[in-house]
Amino acid sequence: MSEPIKIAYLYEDLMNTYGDSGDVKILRYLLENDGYQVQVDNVSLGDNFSDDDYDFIFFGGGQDFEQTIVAQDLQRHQATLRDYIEAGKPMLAICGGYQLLGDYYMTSDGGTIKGLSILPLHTIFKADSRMIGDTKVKTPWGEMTAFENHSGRTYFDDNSNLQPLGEVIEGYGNNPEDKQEGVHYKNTIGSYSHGPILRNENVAKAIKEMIITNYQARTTANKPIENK
Amino acid sequence: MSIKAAFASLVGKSSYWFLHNFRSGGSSFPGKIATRIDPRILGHLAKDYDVIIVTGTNGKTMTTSLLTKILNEQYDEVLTNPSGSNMLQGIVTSFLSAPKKGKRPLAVLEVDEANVAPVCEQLTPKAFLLTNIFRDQMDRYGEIYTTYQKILDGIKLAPEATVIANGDAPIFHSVKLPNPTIYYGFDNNDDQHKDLRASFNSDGVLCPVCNHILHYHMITYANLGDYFCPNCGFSRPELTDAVTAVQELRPTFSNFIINKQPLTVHVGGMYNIYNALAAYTMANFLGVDHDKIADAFNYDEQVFGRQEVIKLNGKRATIILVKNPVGLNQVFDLIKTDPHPYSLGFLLNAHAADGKDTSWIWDGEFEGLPFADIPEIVVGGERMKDIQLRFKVAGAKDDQVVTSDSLTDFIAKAGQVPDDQLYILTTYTAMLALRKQLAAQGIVSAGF
Repeated sequence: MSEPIKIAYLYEDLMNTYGDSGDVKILRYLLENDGYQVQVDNVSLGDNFSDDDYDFIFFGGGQDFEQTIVAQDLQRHQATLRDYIEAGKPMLAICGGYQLLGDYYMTSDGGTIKGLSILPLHTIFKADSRMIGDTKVKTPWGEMTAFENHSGRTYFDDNSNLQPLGEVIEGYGNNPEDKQEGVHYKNTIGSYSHGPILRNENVAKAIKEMIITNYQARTTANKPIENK
Repeated sequence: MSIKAAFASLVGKSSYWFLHNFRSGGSSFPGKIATRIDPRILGHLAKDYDVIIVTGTNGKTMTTSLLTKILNEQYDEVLTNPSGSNMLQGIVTSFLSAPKKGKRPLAVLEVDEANVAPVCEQLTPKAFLLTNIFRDQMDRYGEIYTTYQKILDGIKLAPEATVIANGDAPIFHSVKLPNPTIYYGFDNNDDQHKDLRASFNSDGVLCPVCNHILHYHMITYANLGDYFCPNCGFSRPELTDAVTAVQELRPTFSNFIINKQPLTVHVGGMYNIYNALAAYTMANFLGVDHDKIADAFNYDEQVFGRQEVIKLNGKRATIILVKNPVGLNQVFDLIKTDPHPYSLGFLLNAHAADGKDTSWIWDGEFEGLPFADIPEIVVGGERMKDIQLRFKVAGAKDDQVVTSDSLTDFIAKAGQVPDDQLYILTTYTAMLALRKQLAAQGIVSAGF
């Protein structure tokens, strides 16, 4: 039996709202159709994991309360996740997971929750103006449709280093002002797109290719691939 | 009653009388107009009633109708509100349309979670019956803690009312209430050494005391069961009324034991045993004896608006409303208890009443369906592509999933599946549209 493609699903049992588990289900489906075996591991409170063991990391959105608990535990993995992302390995982070890759998010009552500080961005919660509805976004892989449902507004703090995932055609995206949705840094994608995002075949295929490339690098040379 | 209240009541009642006699059925309109004249009209109308409030995410309608049926065996007059009229104005309408009050009238009200507080501002219930809280159309309701807070805001207005809550739901044990509290749940586990975790896709699995992940000695479904926290020792409260055994589960009935006595309900699904248990516990609290409850349960009648059977081209088609992942998973579990072969239909829409965000279907356990035994899956609705992809990703073969380009086409294709029976799962607005189309084609009578 060949080595399976291994997916780390961060806090699957806490960060699992809005159907984002569908992203992992779709990737599994596509990879299995291509003949790969796929293993998904839930990495939750107190669990350890090593970035060298995985071909893909998924980090979904959760309820606000669960997200504050996860934010605390997550700090244990800061270096692991930073190394993984900087090595150009693929990761998809949606909504709360996306926010936690940044420096911090400010809650509606003015409190600040520390993020991983891997990507130079931050998020401000505005409880009274939630951004809910269908979206359409132009990405490097073509248009995609999704559903957004967030009161966090995300802002880039270093525009030279971060690219958005795409330009907003309909809906809000990161915040009401920038007309941009998500982030694309090396092979890490952050996004507010539920739906799930990977019901968009074009985006799903792009991420699938990143995973296969990383898998091949891990299983042949067993060393991290360079960022393309 | 003040002049304003009397006038509001009169206008409301006459508009109900008019609508009832000259239009088909009532609506929330009489309640709306009466509330506009006197915003506190509900308090006046409900003054002499003992009121029971049934609320929670799933099971409100079924629990309310079962409870009403039981209480009809004991009380002369039980007022209740029809499903779909569970907000303030609909409830006012139900009181306006009630026949003249007897000596000690009782009202069993299904109340939308966000309407518990507005209702309790006007009347003081004798008891609350809480079913469960799951994530539900999050574009509308928000997160489970927000929903529970809305219910608590109502309970706080009635600190002397008895709270009867699902003891298997950790969230109902997370806040200490001044109210007398009774818990019901499942006590059918003979191995207290079991150490389980809820499915990773469940919500509400954090210990309310110390925020570690809860473990279970027994799980009935989702995050419900005999939970305990391995870190701080927080655990399920003592149960007053409990299901001690589930003997038989079929799509059309369930046999089980509550408090050592056998019971049958003519509706399938583990979730309906919870609804029956909830109704049982409230009836027990109100002093109804076991035999009367058993009689009410056993009365064979379709009171179950969310599950209807029609004949479609000679085939038995069961139409089931679905609206959130936990409810959907329960429907899947129910279907899987069917010993006879079946096909499936699925209609997915995305209007406000369905949930505008269709992503919830991805949290449903489609992967657990026995695809090898299901010859055809007919899909339709305005978001057919989403549900088609969901079935494919879950393991259905491409040619197993049959698409339809209209409701007429859906009905035609559903009538031609290879089996004698099929289950049609549908979201709310798709169900209304399906009914209308079925009536237009003369397959069912209008207004069913």
